[in-house]
Amino acid sequence: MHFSKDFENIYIKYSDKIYRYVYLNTNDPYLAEDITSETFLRIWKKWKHIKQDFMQALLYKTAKNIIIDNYRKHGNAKKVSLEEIVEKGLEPSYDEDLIEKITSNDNIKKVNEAIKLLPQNLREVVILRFINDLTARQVGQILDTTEVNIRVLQFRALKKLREIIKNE
Amino acid sequence: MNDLNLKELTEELKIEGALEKEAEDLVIFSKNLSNLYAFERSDEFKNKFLEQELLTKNKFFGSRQMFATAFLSLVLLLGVTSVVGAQGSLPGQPLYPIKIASENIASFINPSFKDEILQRRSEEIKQLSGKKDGDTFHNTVNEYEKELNENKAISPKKIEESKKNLEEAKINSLDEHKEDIERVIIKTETRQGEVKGDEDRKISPEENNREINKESEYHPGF
Repeated sequence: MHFSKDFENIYIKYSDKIYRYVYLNTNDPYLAEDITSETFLRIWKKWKHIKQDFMQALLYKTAKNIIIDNYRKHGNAKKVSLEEIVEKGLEPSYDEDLIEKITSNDNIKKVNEAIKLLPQNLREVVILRFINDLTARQVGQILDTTEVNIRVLQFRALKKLREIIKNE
Repeated sequence: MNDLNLKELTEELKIEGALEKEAEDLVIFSKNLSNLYAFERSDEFKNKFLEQELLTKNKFFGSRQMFATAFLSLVLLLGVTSVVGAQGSLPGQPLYPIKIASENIASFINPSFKDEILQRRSEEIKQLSGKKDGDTFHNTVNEYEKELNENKAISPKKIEESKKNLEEAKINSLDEHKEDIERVIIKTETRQGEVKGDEDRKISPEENNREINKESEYHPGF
């Protein structure tokens, strides 16, 4: 089985979504890239034992765990997991053009700040459901809750976010 | 989100209590949100990660396999070398326990190897007889006697070779070892006599049949 080709396809398909998810949770485009790399490295390590059916949910959950670990280790200092990546023999690299585009966009900055003010559960729903275009069911799988609950939360999340942006 | 999904979202929001206008506004808001963050990292960047990542992984696997193979080969080589090297060792030398262990394994697998062990002990007596290590020599003689007593199916050829070794040992030995050697030579000769007697008493199958026929002639009723 040529599993590295399958892995490549998964990376191409999901890495931008994971990057956006991490970026909006950390507000740091460099840290987002490091955590995205770390997420895929962890998946690649266990690749032979992973069921492909829930790949998307697994990627988001892995990324979320790394964000939490990183926060616990370094708090708000936003220290990157760069050392771990370098230890694995990888040379960290960043899409500088994209980072420049993101960091210089005032609308993105403004919405980033607004998203940061949302409660954790609403923030997750906004990112996954409306920014990464996942279905309510997929979001439910990632957040370990029901599709119905996501539909309730999505209404509240949109209202709240719009209100924050209006008041800024 | 495509138009169909936006329509579904409008309905979902209305079910949750949003008014018609509010639901439509929120859907437009969500669409703008999606467009604002629709950025992607370049293909070139992604390919660079994949090339680096997979290359590193393969390197890791390659080096790990290579290390494991080299390590196992080294262990095997050391094992074989020490077992082979140990076969020429004498009592009191560092490799001697390996020699004894390999003999135990060999005689467990092939019981006839026990004859070889007796001859080996006699060989050791011969080599130690000229050396001034009384305890080691004495222990070796004891081990020889133990083998001589315990091996019930000893072959005449091996016992003869062992006796020859002991006689050579006696010629070259220090005076302090002579008494021990003479004692085991006598024991070996006694054992040799027993073995010879056993051999003589052995009847071939043809002879055995002849004996039975003779018996039948004397007792036709049987």
